[in-house]
Amino acid sequence: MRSQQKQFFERSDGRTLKKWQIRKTGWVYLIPAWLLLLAIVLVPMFFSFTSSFSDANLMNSDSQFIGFDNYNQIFKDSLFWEATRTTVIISGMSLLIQIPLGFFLAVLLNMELRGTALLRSGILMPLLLTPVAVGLMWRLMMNIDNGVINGTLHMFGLPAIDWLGDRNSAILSVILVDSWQNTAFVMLLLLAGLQNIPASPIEAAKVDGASTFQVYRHVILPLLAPVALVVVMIRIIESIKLFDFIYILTSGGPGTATQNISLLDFRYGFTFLQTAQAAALGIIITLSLTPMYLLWRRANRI
Amino acid sequence: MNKSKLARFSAFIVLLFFFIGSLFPIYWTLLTSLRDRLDIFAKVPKFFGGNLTLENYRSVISDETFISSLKNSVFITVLATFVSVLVGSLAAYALARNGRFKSRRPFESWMILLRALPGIVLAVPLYQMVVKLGLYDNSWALVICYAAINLPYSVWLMVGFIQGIPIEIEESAQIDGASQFRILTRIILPLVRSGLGATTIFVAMLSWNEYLLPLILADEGSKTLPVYVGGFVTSRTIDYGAMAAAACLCIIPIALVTLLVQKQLIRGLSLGAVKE
Amino acid sequence: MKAISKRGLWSSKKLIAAVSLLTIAALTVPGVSATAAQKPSSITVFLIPSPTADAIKARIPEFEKQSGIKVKTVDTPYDSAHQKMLLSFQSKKGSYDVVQFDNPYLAPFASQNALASLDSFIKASKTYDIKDFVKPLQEYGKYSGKTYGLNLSTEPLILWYRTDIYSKLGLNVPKTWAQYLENAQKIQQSGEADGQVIANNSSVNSWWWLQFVWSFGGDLTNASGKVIVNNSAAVQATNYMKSLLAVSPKSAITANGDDATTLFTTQNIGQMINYSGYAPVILDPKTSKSAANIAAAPIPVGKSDITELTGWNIGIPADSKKKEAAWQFLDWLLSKENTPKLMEAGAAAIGRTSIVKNPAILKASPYIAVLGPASVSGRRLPALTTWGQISFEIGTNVQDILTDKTTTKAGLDKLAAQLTKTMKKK
Repeated sequence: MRSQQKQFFERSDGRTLKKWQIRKTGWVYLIPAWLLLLAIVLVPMFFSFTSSFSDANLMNSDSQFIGFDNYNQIFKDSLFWEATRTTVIISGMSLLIQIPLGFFLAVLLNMELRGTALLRSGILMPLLLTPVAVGLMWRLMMNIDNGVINGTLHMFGLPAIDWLGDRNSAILSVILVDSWQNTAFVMLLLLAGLQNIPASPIEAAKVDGASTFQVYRHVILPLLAPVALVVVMIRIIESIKLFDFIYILTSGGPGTATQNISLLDFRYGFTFLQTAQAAALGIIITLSLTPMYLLWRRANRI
Repeated sequence: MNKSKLARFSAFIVLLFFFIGSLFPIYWTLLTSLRDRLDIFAKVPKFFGGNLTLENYRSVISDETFISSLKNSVFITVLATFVSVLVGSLAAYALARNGRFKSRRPFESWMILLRALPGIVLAVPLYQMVVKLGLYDNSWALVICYAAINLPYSVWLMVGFIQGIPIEIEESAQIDGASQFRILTRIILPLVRSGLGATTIFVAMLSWNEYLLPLILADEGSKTLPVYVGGFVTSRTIDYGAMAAAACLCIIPIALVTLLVQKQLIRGLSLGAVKE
Repeated sequence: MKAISKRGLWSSKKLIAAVSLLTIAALTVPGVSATAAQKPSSITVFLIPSPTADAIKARIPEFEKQSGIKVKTVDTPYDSAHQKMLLSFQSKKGSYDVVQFDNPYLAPFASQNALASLDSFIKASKTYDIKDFVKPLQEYGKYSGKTYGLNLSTEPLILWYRTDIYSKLGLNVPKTWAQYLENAQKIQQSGEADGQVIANNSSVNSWWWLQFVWSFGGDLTNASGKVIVNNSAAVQATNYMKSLLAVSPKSAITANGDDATTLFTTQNIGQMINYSGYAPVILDPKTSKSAANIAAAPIPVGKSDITELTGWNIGIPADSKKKEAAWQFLDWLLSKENTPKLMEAGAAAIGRTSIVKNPAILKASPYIAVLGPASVSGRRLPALTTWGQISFEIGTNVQDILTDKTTTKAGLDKLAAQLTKTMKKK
């Protein structure tokens, strides 16, 4: 039941206006977006969806309908469950680091200390390096024998760490590189959010005698919530899709230790040449991320 | 007083620490670009100095593929960012201001589905579509593709920023007789300038560093910088020095844009955009 | 009001700036390339970045002058090159006229008739002379009896070693794998250097692993097609591969072929089993610390002396619309007479008998002498359409064994189960 709020304004020249004409014409503003979507996303996604029910691959040109076979195969594939587990670990730990750390840095930068602009620019730089270079440079730096990180540890008398060769350290390495890049993203957005918060509620709370902690808990965080929820949603989605630098840094190794679900999808499509299977896994991944929609609704309710 | 000074000082130290940590790999990339192969793999790392050479830069800059990749990257990024932010802001305005209209929920869901789809799944049918339409290796096709896949970012970010503006401002303007379009361009746009800046930075960053799409949908004609840098991974050797040089050159334009737009951010915010 | 109009003015300034920028950008961007409308006398060559690709590019101007055919080249990194080629073949648009590809992809290409058969061209050619190749090399580009790719490089696995370390420790060139390990242990113990290095990264270790399996008398499948990767020969081979880790640098566990070469040429390592195609990097003093003290020899033998043969192929896509012009290019590039010129331009060696026995060439590059016997006992990687998945399964399971995640027998049993399933696919 659409609520037809019909409120009217008296215009200074006597004409009456309906409140929020845009309410009826909102969809017009979406037309360019829908056009873009249709051209680039909807059509290919439809093809992917239909091909996921076939046995299409790059090894031969004909393909047949095989129903849910691809999906069944995936759920029976131990690689899939392993990759899911790895993804949960990597993404989970990354988020636990990036969100609080990004928030912490945003708070510090919000203090407008001297040189804040320079510091902020510097912290942003990791986001700007091209993906191939990120993977290759970190691989170079993390080399156990002649990488600069272990070289530095050696200088301080610390033992070398097998960043890429040990199953557990490899996961930590991936999380490290991911956080190195994306904490900046979280920081920038939360900083913008913090700076958008009007001064009056904060001052009012302080006048009422609230401590800094209480100010944060009861005034700032609630006002920051919409931005924060969107940031969390974006980070979850992107973290699960993480692929570019993992491929170069570890190739999913050692073994399959750092093979997350996106890398597995790449393997299905490009290494095994099974494009239909890759499409099926892609659909599974996409569908499993639909709960993110709830995050979005929550963010927008406020 | 002292407590606050101490707090500010420690905050500065912490920020400095992260500043160094963030920049060190970039610094290392720069160093690598100035070294020759044997120094790059030296067992004991040299943090400064050593034999520096500009040979890597010379070979990259004199490579005509680098020049054409640079031109393509600039062209595609500028246009794609413009289109994406424009289209996204329009859509965001409707989403932020309106409660319910019919196509709202499907649109929002598609925004998420689009970003949730792994690149490889989108790339293969896109390739087939692009080839059928005769748009393979076409910069304009890439512009549209980039704009589309980064659309969710534009929408999500701008919705947040537009929501930050109290509706009362628009209502009072409406009472004064302003049309919808005037409200959008004359009032909303200037007020979300900082948000527009942040969104533009991000979409530009994403477009500039996009790797998979130009890899699959283009050959030499529309090759972009990230793919060019990727070309240094050859079979039989990786030319780390030249790759690092190309990467450093690649980071300069986007870093400049980011720094410039950041200035706008500061100015917009200090004008006290939204408060009274 | 004043504030708003100032901002309004600013926003239209922004608009003007944006439009101007766009106009400038549009005017300075070079014309967008079109794939259609190629003049009849021009071909497109798909290359994979490599020393050989660079050499081909260097030779092109001479061909263009001689033949009047324009040659355009396209580069795609290895990891997506073949997939791009496959997508292109399936679209049947004839985008490429000549394609460089790696031998393991011969099967997926040829099995769907994506490449043109070259036998009639070869027979009719007066300059190619396929008899100049030994039998294994004649078969190198064949699938189901037809030739789909010419040999663009001949890269067997060979033994690279440091002559200075050998002479210092009084070591001989190993003839068997046991001797190789012995040498490595002596080198490692001496403290002079690490004993040896090979590639163990899960993305490529299948290539080395298969060599060891073959040497120890095993194979992927037996004569009746049953998967035998967990028989005793394979177990021995895998254990041998594992024993090499103790005499390798620590980063060898994640090294791919390129990393192994980098380690060998920039650190002190006594021996390396790697492809002959790395010769340019290994023997150039600019890229190799001890280039003057490195020599090559055939790989050690075990129960069998099979040498793994790899190397580029080059062929003509079936959907190309300019096959004659494409063949003209290939015939010229790889003719008996012109092959040495290609190698001089920096390409990896091609194993023509006329080359591996050519005194002038051998004097300049002694390592080429190894290619002769290596090719005779050469065997290419299995020509299976599912090799991509097979290689991945081998790679990950072997690395699990190497990193002690599982025992050799258990790991190989798991591999056998996976391979049995994979090889059932068409």
